[in-house]
Amino acid sequence: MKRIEMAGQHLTEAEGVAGVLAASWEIFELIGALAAACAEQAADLYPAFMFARSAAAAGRNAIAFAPSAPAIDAATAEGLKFPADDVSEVADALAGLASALSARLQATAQLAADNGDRTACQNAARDADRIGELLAGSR
Amino acid sequence: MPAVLGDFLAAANEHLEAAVVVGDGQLPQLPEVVRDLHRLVAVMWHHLDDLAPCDEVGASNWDGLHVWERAVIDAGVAMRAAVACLGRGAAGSGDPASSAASWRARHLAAAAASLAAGRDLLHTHHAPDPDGLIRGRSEWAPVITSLSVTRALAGQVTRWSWQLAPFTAWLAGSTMSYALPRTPDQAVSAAICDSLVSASQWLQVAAAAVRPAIEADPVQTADIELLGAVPAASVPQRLRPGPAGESVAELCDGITVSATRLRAAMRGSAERARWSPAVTSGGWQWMAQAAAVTSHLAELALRSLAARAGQLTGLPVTAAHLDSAGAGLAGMRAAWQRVDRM
Repeated sequence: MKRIEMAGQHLTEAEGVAGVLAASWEIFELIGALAAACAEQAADLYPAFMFARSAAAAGRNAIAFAPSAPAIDAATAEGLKFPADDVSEVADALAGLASALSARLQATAQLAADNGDRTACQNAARDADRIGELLAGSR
Repeated sequence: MPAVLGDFLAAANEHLEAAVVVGDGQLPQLPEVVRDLHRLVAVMWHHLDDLAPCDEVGASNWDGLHVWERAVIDAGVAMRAAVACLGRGAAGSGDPASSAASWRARHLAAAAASLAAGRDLLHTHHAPDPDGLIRGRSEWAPVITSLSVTRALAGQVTRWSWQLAPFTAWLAGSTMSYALPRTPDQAVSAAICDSLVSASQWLQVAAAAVRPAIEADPVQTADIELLGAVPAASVPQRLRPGPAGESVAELCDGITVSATRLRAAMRGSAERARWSPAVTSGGWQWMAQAAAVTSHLAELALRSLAARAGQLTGLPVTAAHLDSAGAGLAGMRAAWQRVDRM
């Protein structure tokens, strides 16, 4: 949960298009890694986590196409283990993070001067929305 | 609920039953009635023609035909002759009056329209492939050409033929009464009368043609139920689970919709083959994840069934069998997950 809160904090503190893109990449990586770890822990949430993982990968790839995306450490969330928290709580926290990410990406899309950045933010926002739909209300 | 063939057959039957009621002392408005009767019998013939595996020439050299296949061909030949006779009768009886059609004509027209709509529904299950060959495009396609549906539909169409034969004879009898005040030409009236008499006889022949089949292999209740249940071949809209809990009926509906959509997706899979330029690495990953999720859900279903089977006796499968199948699916899920993470 701490990693989720930290990622949310990074998003809040991000400045400029490049900063938001970097924070978004980090969040999509985190969601993908946590979703993969959590999928094994709750049989009834397995499909939601698996599809959330897929949407996270799509969102991360959308960010990678943005011209302003900074060079990012590919190993951001590698080796992440299953968190000790309740799986439903993790799902809710990830849904909240995805929702905040979508709002920030949509706002950034309106500010971006570059068409490529704008499109990347819009596409990534859609993937964040999808994650929110999949993981919200899982309890 | 999607439309099913039974809806159209029931509507056609209701209108046809209403149309053939005689004895009310009213003279039929001959041009309208004969024209709409011609349309109705033509649609009935098309239904039989669709069921026939070959024409009468082919059938004469084909010893292996099932008794119902032969009956359908024979009834179709007779029905086609009835259509030709009614066509001559309709042409001879002149243009319909400009006033509103009679109730009898309206019922015949409505019966023809319902039967035509039913035939359109059946045709949604087949389509030509790129080589022009007609292929099934739904899971119902083999049902439509099955013996069961052939029996039920041919039985129904020829039962209507049997009802229309005396009605057509009655029309023939009323020809002179109807024509006398309007056309003094007795030769024309006689020709129309002859056409209708012939049509009536051919309708009887069509009905009689299926009797050997009915005796040898009677129409079953299950055949009629199956015929009535044929839906249009359309892919239903995605049914997303609601935020609230679903009832058992809603779950069953959702499963049916998902299964139908999956089967439709499978039929289009040839176009999405691995050499297709539409396929991407992202698409492959998505497919692997979907396969992992599907394996997982199937495993859960099998484990539940295994638990229930353990409480029952006399089942053809044991809890151990179901558990073993569930374990197999768990292995599949793990394999798909490895593919997903490549």
